[in-house]
Parts: sequence; C-alpha cells; structure tokens
Amino acid sequence: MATKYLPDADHVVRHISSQLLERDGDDQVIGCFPQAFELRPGEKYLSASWLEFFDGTRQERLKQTAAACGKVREVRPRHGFAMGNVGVIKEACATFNQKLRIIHEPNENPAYTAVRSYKSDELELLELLASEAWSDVVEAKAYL
Amino acid sequence: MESKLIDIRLDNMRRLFSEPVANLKRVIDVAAVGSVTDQLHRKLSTLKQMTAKVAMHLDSTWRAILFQALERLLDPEDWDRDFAMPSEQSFSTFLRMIIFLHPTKRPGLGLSPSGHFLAAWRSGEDRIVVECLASDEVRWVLSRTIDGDRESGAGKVQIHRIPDVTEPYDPEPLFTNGDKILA
Repeated sequence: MATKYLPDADHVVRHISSQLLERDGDDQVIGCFPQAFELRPGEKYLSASWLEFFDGTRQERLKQTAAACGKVREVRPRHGFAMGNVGVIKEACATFNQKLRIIHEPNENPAYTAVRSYKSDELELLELLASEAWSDVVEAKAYL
Repeated sequence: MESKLIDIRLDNMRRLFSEPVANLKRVIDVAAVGSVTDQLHRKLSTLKQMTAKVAMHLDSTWRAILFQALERLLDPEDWDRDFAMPSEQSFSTFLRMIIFLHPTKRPGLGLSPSGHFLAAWRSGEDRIVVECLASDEVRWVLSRTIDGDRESGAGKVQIHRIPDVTEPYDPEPLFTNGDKILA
C-alpha cells in the first residue's frame, strides 16, 4: 500500500491525558504541558489522528476522532485533545533540524496517524509544539 | 536593591535548611502495592502528609487548592494506566521549590508520564514550565514573546539556581501576582 502523507493544510489531533492538561484557577483547560509531546520509553513515533479523515464541521470531525481514539485507548471526559496544523508542526520541527513524516496508518482507529522521524529530547521543541504549533487544546467531554 | 535581593535569597535558602523543609529531601519513593485505585489513594495520602509537615511555609488557602489539584491529578477515574505512579521525591522537590521561590502566583499543576510533578506559571502567552525531578533537580523551559518575536530557554538545574538561569528572561511577571502570597 502506498504511503499516505497528510497534506500540510490538514490537522492532526493528539489525545492528552488529564494529568498533562494545564488548567486555570477555574479548572478551565488553557493548554497542555510540553511533556504531552514527549516520546515514552520504547516509543518510536508520536501517535495522533487525522482530523480531515472524517467529514463534517470541526465539531463533527472532533466527535468522530474522539470515538475513533476511544477504540484504541480510554478517553475520559477530563482528558483532552490537542489539534495542530500539519504544515505548521513540520515547520516547527524543522527549526530543530527534524524533517517529520506524518503518515496515515489506520488500525482500529481509521484516522490513526504516526508522526515519524520525530525526536523529543529537546524541551524547547516540546514547548514550541505545546504553546504554538500544536496548541489548540480542548477538553474531551464536549466531544464524547 | 542588590543587597535586598541577596537578603531575600539568603532567607529563602535558610528555609530550605530549616528542620521540616530539610527533612523533605530525605523522602524516598515508595513502591506502591495493591490495585491502581489503592495505590493512588495511598500516594495521595502521603503527598498530603508531606505538605502538612511544611504547612507553616504555605498559605492556607493555597494549600487547600493544592490538595484539590492533587485529588484531581490522582483521581482513579481519570488515571492513565500508562503513567508511572507519582514520585514522592519529585513532590518533595516541588514543595521545596515553592518554599524557595516564594512565588506570589499560583502555578498550574500537572504530572508527567514518568510520575514527575509539573508546575506552570503563565503571564498571557508567556510561560515557564518546571518538571520536578528527585533531589532538588528540575528541568525547566521558558517561552515568551517580545515585540512579536518568540524566544525560549531551557535547562536542568538545582532549585536554588532557578532565579539565576531564568533571570535573562525577566521572569518576574510569571511568578508574581500583586500582593498575593503562597509561600
């Protein structure tokens, strides 16, 4: 099967555990911690979902993405989703000399996407992703 | 002004060496047993006890808010099974950092997949995130925008070095909030 790279104009969605969401004094989600983009021991790539794999409005697409993520791992109301534009994420990583390959690799989650050739050992890159390039963060409860 | 800053720094250093605060440094990570829910309950209880031991250095309102934050972070309902259990040593570093830095703004709290406590201070889009490791060591990253240009810095230091290494980024607006006092 031919490798399907995501178009730069599209978006990827990363499921974020509640512990990695930054909240304000009113318990509202205001972002996520940079560690949300850190590879865990043994991980070779970053997991995400392709938002535009699904049809509809952004809201509808996110709901379908949440359901698709839920097939692979538990998604709870206080978890979150971080969205980012593919081109912007690639550009951010390029400033750290990383040439990402963002590939649609469907499994039980038909929108599953692997962010490959990614290294997470530079904390400043993780912060750039969390605060700018991949920083559109929402709480999951509105999409379950 | 310079001598006032030195006095404040010395005062904060003395707190780290004072009895209950110094004892925090001797905390060890306890291997949890039982179900995940039991483990989280035990960890939560331990973290609250650690906080209570240095309560005299913390504002009582903020202490209550800290407890609520810990309850949320360690809520079995939302627990990510891929995460390591929260580290007591990391929490010790967090408490000692708060007592040393004496911030007047409340940090956002989080937990890394490796069980390390995370603290974030914000001023608009600018922020500093500190990951508390064991033995007073922290990993920090700061990002801010000046005249439309984003700049950032990161490093790994002991807590007493945080003011020095972040000083070039003028971190005062991140850590302070009017007259409120947390520690």
